Amino acid sequence: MRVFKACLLVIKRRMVTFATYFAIFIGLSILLSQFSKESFNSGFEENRPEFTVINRDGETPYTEKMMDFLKEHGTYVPLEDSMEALKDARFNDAVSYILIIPEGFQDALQKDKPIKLLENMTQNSASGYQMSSYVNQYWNYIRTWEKIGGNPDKEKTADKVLELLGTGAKVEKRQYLKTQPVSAGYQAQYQVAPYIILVICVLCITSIFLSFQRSDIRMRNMCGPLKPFTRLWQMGLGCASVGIVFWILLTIAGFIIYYDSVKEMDIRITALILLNSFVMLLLAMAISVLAALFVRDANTQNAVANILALGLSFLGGAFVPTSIMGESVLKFAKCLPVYWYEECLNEISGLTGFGMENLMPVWKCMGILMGFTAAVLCITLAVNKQKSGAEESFGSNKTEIEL
Amino acid sequence: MIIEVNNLVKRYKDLVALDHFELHVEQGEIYGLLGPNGSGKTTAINCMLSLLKYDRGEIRLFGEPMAPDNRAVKQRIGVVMQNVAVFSELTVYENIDYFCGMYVPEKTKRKALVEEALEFTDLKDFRKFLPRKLSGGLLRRLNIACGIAHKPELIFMDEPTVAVDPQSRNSILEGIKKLNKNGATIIYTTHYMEEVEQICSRIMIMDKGREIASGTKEELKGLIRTGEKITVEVSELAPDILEKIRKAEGVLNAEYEGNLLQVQCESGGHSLITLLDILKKNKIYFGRIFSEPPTLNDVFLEITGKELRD
Repeated sequence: MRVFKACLLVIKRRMVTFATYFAIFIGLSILLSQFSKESFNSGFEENRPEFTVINRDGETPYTEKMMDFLKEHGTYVPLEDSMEALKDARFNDAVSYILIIPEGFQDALQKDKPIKLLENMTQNSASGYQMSSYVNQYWNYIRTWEKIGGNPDKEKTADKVLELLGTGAKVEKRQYLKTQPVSAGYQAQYQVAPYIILVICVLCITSIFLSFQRSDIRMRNMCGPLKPFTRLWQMGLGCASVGIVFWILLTIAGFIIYYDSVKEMDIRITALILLNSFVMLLLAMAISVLAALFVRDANTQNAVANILALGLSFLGGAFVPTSIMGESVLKFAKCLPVYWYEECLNEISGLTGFGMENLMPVWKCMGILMGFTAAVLCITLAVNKQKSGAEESFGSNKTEIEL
Repeated sequence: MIIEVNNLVKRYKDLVALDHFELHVEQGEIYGLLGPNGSGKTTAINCMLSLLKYDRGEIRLFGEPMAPDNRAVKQRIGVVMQNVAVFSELTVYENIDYFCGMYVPEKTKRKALVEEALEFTDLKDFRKFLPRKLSGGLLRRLNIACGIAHKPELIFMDEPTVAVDPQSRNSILEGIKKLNKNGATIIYTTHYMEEVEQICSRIMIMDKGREIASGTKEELKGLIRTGEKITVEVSELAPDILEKIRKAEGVLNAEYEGNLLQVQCESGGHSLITLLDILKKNKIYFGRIFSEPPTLNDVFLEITGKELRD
């Protein structure tokens, strides 16, 4: 396994470069995850609509307590009691609910001849109805309490009513899907993963090829007793090992950084995300071998790695979501493998079950990725045959290269 | 016979690189292929190593036809390429270990061989150095160490001393002699005639893909009319005396320039005495006298009409 070991040594000498790229990527993915919205949050937070109350009936313990009650559920916006001010506030959406307590309202309430409260709210607005509901509940309780001749002390009556209204229920959101959703940060890491997979694979594999395909080294190797196939096989193994080790590192990094989210995720979803990235890795290795046939020196190596990785990732939707791409760009993106990787990732993230029907789009995207891999490998073989004309026979003599 | 090359023809389109080339090398020889750049030395070696297709002819190494898939023969060969063929990412030790490992899979045996090669090429102190940190001479030594670590029976050395300082060159040549003493047969190509004269037991002079002459250095020098070259410091020399010298027995040519009289003599004669007699008789005072035996360059010059380094 001399060639294999030499491949690993070549990579070892360039480890600093790869580690730098990897660290930048991890930083980038963490940064991106901060901007990503969580797709699901199990916590519940009550909506707090803006409201105003115009009290034309004077301050009483009932109205004071109502204000306290409403302020618990909404945001009070003080407004002047003028038609113009109220119209402006409604027009500018400064408040979504306006309550006007008309003059004589509380007297009428005690006499059991109630006067209607004046309400104004945005049409079909949930916030307005929410506030209206609180107001109605409050005054209904007060009226009932007054009717049954409860406590003559209005303040105590209002307190009692507030106590009754304060009995709430703890609300918790639940997702009625068969799977747990994918963490936004974890998804963000895998969304931009094609870039780093491509960069590292191209750099690693072209480094190995640059060393072994140097004409003097190639000739020297051909002088040795090692079969060309064995040499090639060991080189392939070296490239594959480096790619797989990197993929494992990427996986471990994802698990460590997003440990809390990943442990909540359905293991089948995690497995599918990893499988998708592995298929991407195979494709990246195939692209890298093809690129390696054209890279002649270390100067072009970095340029090729960045152009390929950035170009394919950017146009494929790794950095910019495909949803905001123009139609023509999208058409072009569909011809690129990274697009299908991103599609696959989106399909996996949105999975609601693991039946054949649910998984079919995922397998379809992975199949397309595999198709790209096979196509790139075929092109690589054709180019290689064209370039080297290796070990061909003529007459009774065979040679390995033609200068 | 270790190497038999018969009637080898190699063409690069219209250029005939090897023209009915023949080579026969016995075991234990250091066989020198001498010729100017482009004479076909490297092409001949590449054909023998099955690195190049050839148009006609037969190559047998160790009695077997040489082919790219003849691994058994390749196992017995060592190669030192004209260009330094080492991995820039691997250290000196790792490079030797890699190339030795192609022939010797056993780790313990290989380790001993690599250590021996390091010792042989005097690279022990540089084992952890990357090639880019080595000087030109050390790099050449590393190239040799990579080619000989597995102790091959037959070693092809293609201009291993190109661009090497004289001290390193001598060290390399001494090493090659030592390898030969240890039983290796060596094919050595160069365009430095001093080197082949110093180490080779037999020499072939090549030009335009053909053998011009071959044999031991003495045999080659015996092939030409040119003998020793005498140089005499003379303060003044009249043209008539120069003419007398030119016409003297055993003298091929004489030139006088910058107080130096240079006389080219025929081989086998005693021209120095004749020359000194002429100078004495004509009362010509002379200073130092130098006498150089003919070189392989003279052989090449006389046969082809041009210098080896043209």
